[in-house]
Amino acid sequence: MPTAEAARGWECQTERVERWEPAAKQEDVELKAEVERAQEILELDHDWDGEGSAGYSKNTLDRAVDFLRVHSTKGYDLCSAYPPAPRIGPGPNGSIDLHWKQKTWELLVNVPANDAGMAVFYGDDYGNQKIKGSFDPKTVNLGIVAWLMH
Amino acid sequence: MADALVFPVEEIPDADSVFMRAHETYCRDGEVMPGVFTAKNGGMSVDWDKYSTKEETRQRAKNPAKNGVLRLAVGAIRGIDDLDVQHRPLPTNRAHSEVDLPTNEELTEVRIFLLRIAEVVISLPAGRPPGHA
Repeated sequence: MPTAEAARGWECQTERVERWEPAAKQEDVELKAEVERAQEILELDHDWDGEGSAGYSKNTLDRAVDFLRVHSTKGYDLCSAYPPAPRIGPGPNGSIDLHWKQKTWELLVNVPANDAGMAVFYGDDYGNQKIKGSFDPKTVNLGIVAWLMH
Repeated sequence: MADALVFPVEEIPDADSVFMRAHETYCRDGEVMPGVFTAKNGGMSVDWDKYSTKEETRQRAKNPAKNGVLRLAVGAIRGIDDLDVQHRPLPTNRAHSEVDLPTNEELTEVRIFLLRIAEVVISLPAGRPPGHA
């Protein structure tokens, strides 16, 4: 049975870490490329499809991108790897869609045009497991981070 | 002056399909994006295949060259939550029908399921960037 003395001995063998140097975080290049591509959405003015669809504001796209960056960074902090990047696309009524379609799961997050509106999400594993709900897109949703990293 | 042509409203059987236009902006790498499923003026406009071909649906677009066409089985649509397909003919389009989409947060889930049952029957243009002719 370990004794307190033995424990003290173990402590003595442990070097004191003066300063923790985390490995340099690599850039999420996949997300960066998708965000650059998504800027094209801002070229879509009202009735861009000839069917009366709404245009898209920089504010809405920025909120969607902020959401992605925060959740990507959180995923990296927890798992030392970035989650896959979604397709950023035009959603209904000036909203922005963030769509992940993977082999074993799918997730759609919709960021509304209304600055005060809640983002809505739905995802499943093409089977019984699913995740759905709404949240303030300015906050970190750990459920979504976990889903992205699973 | 002649009266406007009025078509009777019919019940659409589950075994039939509807066609729907998809603008090239909703295409990425040959795949359709979920934003294509959106309601305009109440419902999501589709054409009943009893009275329209896929090409006729495409030609009803303001710019047909920028649109592909999807086919959705009516029975499969009705199998998604509480969705229904109603025949709502227009004087200029007997095939016109609408899928009544939810207006609350259920819409996000419904769009995923619609995406899974949609079949591309006229390929979308290659997804050129917005604003390009």
